Amino acid sequence: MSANYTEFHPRWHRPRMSVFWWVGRRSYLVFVLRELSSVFVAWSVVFLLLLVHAVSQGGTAYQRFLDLSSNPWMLALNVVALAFVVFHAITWFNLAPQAMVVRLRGERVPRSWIVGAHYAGWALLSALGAWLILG
Amino acid sequence: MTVNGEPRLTCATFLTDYRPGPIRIEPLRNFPVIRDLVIEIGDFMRKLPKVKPWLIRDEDAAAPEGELLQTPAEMDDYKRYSMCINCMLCYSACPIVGLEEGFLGPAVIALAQRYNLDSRDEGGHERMDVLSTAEGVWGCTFVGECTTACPKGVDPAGAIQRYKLTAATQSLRSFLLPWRSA
Amino acid sequence: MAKRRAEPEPLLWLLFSSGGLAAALLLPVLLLLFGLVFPAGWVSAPSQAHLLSVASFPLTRIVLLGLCVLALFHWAHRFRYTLYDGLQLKHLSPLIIFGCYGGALAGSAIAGYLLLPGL
Repeated sequence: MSANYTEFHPRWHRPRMSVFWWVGRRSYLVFVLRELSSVFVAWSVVFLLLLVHAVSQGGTAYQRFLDLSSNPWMLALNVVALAFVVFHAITWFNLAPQAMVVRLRGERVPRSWIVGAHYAGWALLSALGAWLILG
Repeated sequence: MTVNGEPRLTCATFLTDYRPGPIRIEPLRNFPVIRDLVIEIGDFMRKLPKVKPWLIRDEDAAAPEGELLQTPAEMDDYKRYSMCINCMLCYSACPIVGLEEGFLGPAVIALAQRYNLDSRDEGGHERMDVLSTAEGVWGCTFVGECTTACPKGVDPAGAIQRYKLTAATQSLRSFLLPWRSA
Repeated sequence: MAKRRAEPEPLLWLLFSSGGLAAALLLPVLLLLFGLVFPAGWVSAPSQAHLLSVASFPLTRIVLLGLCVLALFHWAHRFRYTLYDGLQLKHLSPLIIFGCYGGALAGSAIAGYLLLPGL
């Protein structure tokens, strides 16, 4: 069967997709917010590198960093960034089972196990990180 | 068609469920409209054969004796992706289909996976040339709306993400171990 | 079957993927502590000496470097497609690719400069 459909037809209605296609629908909006979380991921890296630099430079540099992070605007930014980074983590873990099929002794591992393993790893690493930092 | 903004199989959508209304019926989105509620599906029909959605076997090998056998477990590997009825609701739901002219789309890639994961198929590498491209899986950003819209539970989003992993590991392997054949 | 010229997309996606996982696992606790808990004074911040001793473990430095590099490439890949699809800027593709991956490379270089010496 040959599909010789005319590609461009002067009478067909072909609406152009709006730049704001993602605003009108909740699922699209959530998707775009999820994608924008990557900006705050990048900001977290920048903030982390500022911290590393301050720590390596000595006590006064570190104190300057702490003062900077206490600045109300910086604090507000980091609260928003934290919300987005957590949102990234939650959406990432919840979508993981769709992207991977894990087999244990021939049987497919249930979705809840894969999600659970991610959250467990998250909790473990967070606890370890907090323990290392707080000393 | 699009019912109250959602892609729906109107043959299986009941007016009583939308009482007291109002109800808004539009042609399926992301397709050119010929007239009224009739859309043109040529784009979809042309994309479908690009992934060679049939069993590909080594033609030089001897013909098999009897049928090609498959265990129930082997069928379960791809069964989900064989449930597609080509209704194109996923194309309507996918924003990338609307944005990217050449994007193959959820149903086509899910169908390719149906054959890639079929134990009787030997054509994975042939399909990779079509799938591992910007118009193939790499254009997908895992919005996930295709899976939500699918009336048959095919989960095309999952099929696509799984193929991304397949293609990426294959690419890595051929880069790191080029002497190993695909 | 000979490959056409090698596509970077699979590799970039792998970087995006591993970066997404690394960022999801490690960034929340770091940002929570240094971005909110310590500045707000809920818990007193650790001393510089303590943090320096933690950071001097080679493993800590490698993990931090890996996190920074992968998370930056995660941003680069995701943001590139957000600009393509969200703002329909695909016609600016060369500029976007340069800005995103170039930015990630620059950030990775800075991270390497800060974390590699003394390893």
